[in-house]
Amino acid sequence: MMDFDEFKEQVAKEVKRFLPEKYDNAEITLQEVTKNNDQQLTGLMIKTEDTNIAPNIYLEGYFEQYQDGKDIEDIVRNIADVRVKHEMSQDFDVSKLTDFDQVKDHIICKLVNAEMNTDYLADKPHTIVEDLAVIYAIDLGGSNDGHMTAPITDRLLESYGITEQELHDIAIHNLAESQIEFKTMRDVLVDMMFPDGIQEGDPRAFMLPPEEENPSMYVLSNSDKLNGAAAILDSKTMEDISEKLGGDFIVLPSSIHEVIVLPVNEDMDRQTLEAMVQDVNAGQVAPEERLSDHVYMYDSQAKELIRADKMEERQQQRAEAQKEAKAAERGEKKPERERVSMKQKLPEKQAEVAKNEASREHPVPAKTKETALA
Amino acid sequence: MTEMKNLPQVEAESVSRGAQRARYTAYMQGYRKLEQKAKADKESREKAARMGGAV
Repeated sequence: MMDFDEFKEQVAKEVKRFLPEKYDNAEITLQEVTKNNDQQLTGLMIKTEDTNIAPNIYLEGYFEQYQDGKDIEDIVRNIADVRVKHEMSQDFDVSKLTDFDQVKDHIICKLVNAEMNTDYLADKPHTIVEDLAVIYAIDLGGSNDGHMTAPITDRLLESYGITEQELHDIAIHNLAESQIEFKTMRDVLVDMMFPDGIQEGDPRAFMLPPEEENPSMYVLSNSDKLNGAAAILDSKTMEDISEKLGGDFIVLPSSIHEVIVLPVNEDMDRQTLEAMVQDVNAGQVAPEERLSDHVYMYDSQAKELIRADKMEERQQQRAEAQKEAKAAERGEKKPERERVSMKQKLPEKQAEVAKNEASREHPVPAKTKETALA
Repeated sequence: MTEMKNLPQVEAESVSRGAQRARYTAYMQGYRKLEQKAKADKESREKAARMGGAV
């Protein structure tokens, strides 16, 4: 049984045997590619002389098939078929990446984890938001099934002659113009499972959450559900959600493609929610699609997203500041009250009363218990 | 996808609808469990408080 290094060399050596004649002079290379969350993949590129673009065929999945017992010849034949199917009929128009005037309306932002992407971010302009990083790419078009994108690197940014801040502003402007979707979890599942509507008696309808007057779970993404977690960067969307949910709200980083929004529930603490996020990440989210293991909150007062643990500190600080402000208020009034205290005034009052009594012609008899009750 | 030297790689990106549904379902079920637990904890706290008050 070959190890991965031997496997990839074998594939590169053998693949031409299964390719049509036009690939006889093709250049075959293996290259390491860093994907999201610093996932390293090995791409096999088969480039003919007459084109400037060729697909990278990632070999990790094929190696898994080999480890599962699939015949190496069948695997190499399959790789050759994939390459032929993805042949480009014409050269790629490079100005789609290099000409800033063509590019600017297609600049999108993506949200990734900053710590898990130290290598990936090394040659790319990015903006840090809490422990996440906003990165930028050129959307080259696509459909509901997928999009072609090119990440904006430091080198490309330099060629555009704009600053990182300008790049960020353009991407955020384009985001605001894009189709952001905020729907209840039930509605999202209905769209996915029943694109033509729920037929009466369809047993799958029982899998849906019940319709609620005050839904407890929402999904925030874009209409393609691709790199849609970046929707949290649109301030108008976040303000609208805050208005709808009545103030602060919780953001669970479901994946780079979407976040889950929850109204604040006083009975549920951050640690419990964080444990759930970590569980789902570990069990259900592909490593390259993970966004974060932390829970976030939208602070409606500051109008910003903040990590929930920091929000707790912030709330504590606010409560203390309020307490101090109230104490300070009391502290200012205290001397005034002391100046007019009855205790201080008592001897003065007693002397005044005695003086008045002495000057009366018909002094009023002192009230006895009986007269007071009468 | 990749192309000329010094230019970034062009990537074909897509989302697996199956994986997406699995994530949503996991969150839905996970949250429902947390809600039930929070409700049960609250009820037991209230019950303990009532008992404490009676004593």
